[in-house]
Amino acid sequence: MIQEYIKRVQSGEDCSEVIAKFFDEAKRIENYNYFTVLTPELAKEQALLVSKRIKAGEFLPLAGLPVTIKDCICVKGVETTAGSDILRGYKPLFNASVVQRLINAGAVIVGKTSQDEFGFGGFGINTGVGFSPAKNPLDPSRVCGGSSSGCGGITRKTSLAHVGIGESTGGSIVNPAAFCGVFGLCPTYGRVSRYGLIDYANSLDKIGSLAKDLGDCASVMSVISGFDEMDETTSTCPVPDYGSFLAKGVKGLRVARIKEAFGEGVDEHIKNKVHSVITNLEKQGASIREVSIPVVAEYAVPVYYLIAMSEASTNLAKFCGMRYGQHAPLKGSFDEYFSAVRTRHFGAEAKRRILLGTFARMAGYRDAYYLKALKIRTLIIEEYKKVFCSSDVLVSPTMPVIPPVFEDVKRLTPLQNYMMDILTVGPNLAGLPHLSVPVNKEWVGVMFTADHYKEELLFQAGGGCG
Amino acid sequence: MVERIASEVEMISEQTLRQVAANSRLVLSDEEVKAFLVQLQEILGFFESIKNVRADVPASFIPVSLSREPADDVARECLSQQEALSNTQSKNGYIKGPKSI
Repeated sequence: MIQEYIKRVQSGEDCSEVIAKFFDEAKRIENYNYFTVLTPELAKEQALLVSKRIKAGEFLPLAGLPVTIKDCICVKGVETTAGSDILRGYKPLFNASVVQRLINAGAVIVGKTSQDEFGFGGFGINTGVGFSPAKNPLDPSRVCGGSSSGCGGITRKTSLAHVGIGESTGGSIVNPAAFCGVFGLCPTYGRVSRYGLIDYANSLDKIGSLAKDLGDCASVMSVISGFDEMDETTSTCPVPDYGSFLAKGVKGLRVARIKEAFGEGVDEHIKNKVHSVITNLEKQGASIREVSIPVVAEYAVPVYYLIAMSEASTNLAKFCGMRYGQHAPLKGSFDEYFSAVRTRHFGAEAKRRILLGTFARMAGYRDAYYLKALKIRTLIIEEYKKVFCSSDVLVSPTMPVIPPVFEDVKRLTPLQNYMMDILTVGPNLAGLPHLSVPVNKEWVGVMFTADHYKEELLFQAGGGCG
Repeated sequence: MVERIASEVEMISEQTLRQVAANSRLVLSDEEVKAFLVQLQEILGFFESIKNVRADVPASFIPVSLSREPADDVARECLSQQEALSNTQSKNGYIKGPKSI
């Protein structure tokens, strides 16, 4: 979808008109709470620069494309808060590598999208103090999913060419993609640079894309993937032309249906929809078999939360009213000052995760919780690797339920909230690339998971979903 | 299938929670302590299941193996002092903090 538009801009059409329309539209749907900040001035400058570069003979693979950036990713000079009140006022002095690559490719940054505070949620309702939850574009009484909630919402809601950049720690790209009825690609850990990302959990965070069309996801992933000297964990593996796999067909593709993902706790309606997709793939020549991943099914949720919270509690230690964001009058001792700022500006879920993460790393508990979780993570990775010896992609529903209404989510306990991630935390823990494909453009997603650095197989499988 | 081992369930006490909050530089009201204690006990009770797993394997601190050599330790252009202080409360080129003495 975006390729037609990009071609027109590359051929000389001024992108300023589409960019202006984007801001008009964003204003009209302001009450959906998709943005923490819009960037019309920056976009105007970038659009002008795109025209100049094209006139000078440059080829720009994302010429004039409006792109939104999840708020946890730094954009130079633009307030970047990761959805947290504690970072209000923080203006990064540099672009995240992913943002710089998008700009270099001719994209136009139109705004920062709303999210659960620091990514701490799966429904988009754990917003920071003073932020409002994003509403589902298909039914505003329901949630968008999370934590890339605003990204999922605007991607579905906008009528214009657009791709959203999201971030996933435990499922935060595919979850809102499924709930908003769009495509969401979370790459292999280290496939996309994290330089300039406000970390939630360093060993789990990945940056990816959400789009209305799978080809749009592919176009953007080809630009943002690859080695970055600013991020030691990025891979030097070559980046394939993902778009070339979309029409490859699924004949001979070995698809493994995850047995435990169709068990108790998953809505029958969702199982039926995902089964219809699997049947369709089989008709096109994919070979389907069933696999069991019991360690993932039983332990991925507690292991994920222990690792994520332990890493998060250390990452959030730097937010104390000194170097970034919120400050307060300088009263009392350092400890009293730090405590006052953190207590006032962190939301309830951030506090809960800091407490749990700090507890799990305390002397006497560290080996039993944090270190043990890291060892079971090894078992989980080994279990996936074994399955990939005889399968190309795994298939499951993305989410076990359709997007709930806000009132129902509010009634869930924190643990019940965490259990909603049961289908997405496995691939995230193992750093495996995964893709959510919307079924009939509704709010049900089918999720494909591939081995490390095999994103192209996801595009091949997704391309076969028609 | 993973091997299971027996273990005892540990629960967080109010005293430990208050200590954890102090370590985390968070001040909790009595109401918050009451609410968090119930929630954390439920969550930690759920986490206990991992203690039953025998995992005589190395820990995975990251999910992929890194085979590259670390980057060379070479000085490069960095932020000016003014830029580095632009998001802070500062005075005379230094970050301002509470009195320490």
